[in-house]
Amino acid sequence: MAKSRQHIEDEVNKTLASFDQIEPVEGNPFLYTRIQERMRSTPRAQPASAYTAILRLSLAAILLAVNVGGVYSYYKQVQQMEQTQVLDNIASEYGLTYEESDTSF
Amino acid sequence: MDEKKLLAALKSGSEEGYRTLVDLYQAKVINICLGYFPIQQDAEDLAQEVFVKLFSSVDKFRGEASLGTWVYRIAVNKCLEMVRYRKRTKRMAFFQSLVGLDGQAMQISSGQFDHPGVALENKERTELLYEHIEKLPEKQRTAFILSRLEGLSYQEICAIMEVSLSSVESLLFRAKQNLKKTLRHYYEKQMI
Repeated sequence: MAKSRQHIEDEVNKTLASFDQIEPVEGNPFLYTRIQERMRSTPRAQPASAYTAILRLSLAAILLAVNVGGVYSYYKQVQQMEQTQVLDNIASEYGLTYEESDTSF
Repeated sequence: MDEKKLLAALKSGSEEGYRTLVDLYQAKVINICLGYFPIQQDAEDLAQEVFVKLFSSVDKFRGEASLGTWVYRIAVNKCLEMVRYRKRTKRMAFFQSLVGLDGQAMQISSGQFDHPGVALENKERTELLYEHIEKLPEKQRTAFILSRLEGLSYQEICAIMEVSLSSVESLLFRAKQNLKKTLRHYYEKQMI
């Protein structure tokens, strides 16, 4: 058992040491030419044109208008609902509500 | 050409500056890339990307670190970007195979272990070590590669990784402990 444990430790140490035996690689003499080719084939990022900027601003304005409109209509709806609810409460408190049972003798 | 002149040449977009930078740092960059991806073709492709990034971002270099540190930092960042990209692609391919789509477009590597600096008699062991290094967390992996493969000092690693000296010491200690643990586990399985 102790022997096998020692064997495992030896293997682990040998494997870890294998990293130190890696020889550094020399460069590639054609690397610069390849980089040049790559730079030529990769289009540079163009700054946004005035047309794109206007389009972006318009889209942002439309989105803002839709959102503001949505929020406004939601509050209006809530306000109306609250008013109707207050009237209903007063009516039921003073017995002014119309129920079907009142007419069915 | 000294560092200041080289930097000025790079910022002015001079071809001579670009060529000098590639001549000075290509071996270091390729070796770093090989530290993450032990396949010659992949490492050289990545090295090209590193230099393209260096040329395109030279205007942003403020000279707070040395040119060498900046080159190493960009090389490490590019390698980590590629590590994350490959992980994402593998996950995508897995999900595609689950839903029955063909993942043939997911070509993420050009082949098997092919490190030109590894002698044939060490190939098996080094390949095994690489498999275990791949499982380390990103920071531990980077510190281990910079220290053991590039032979950089702790101070240089601090500057490249932008962490403190104690962090580098701790990262290296944990990287070695984790590697020993996983390798021990691997050899124990082999014994059974």
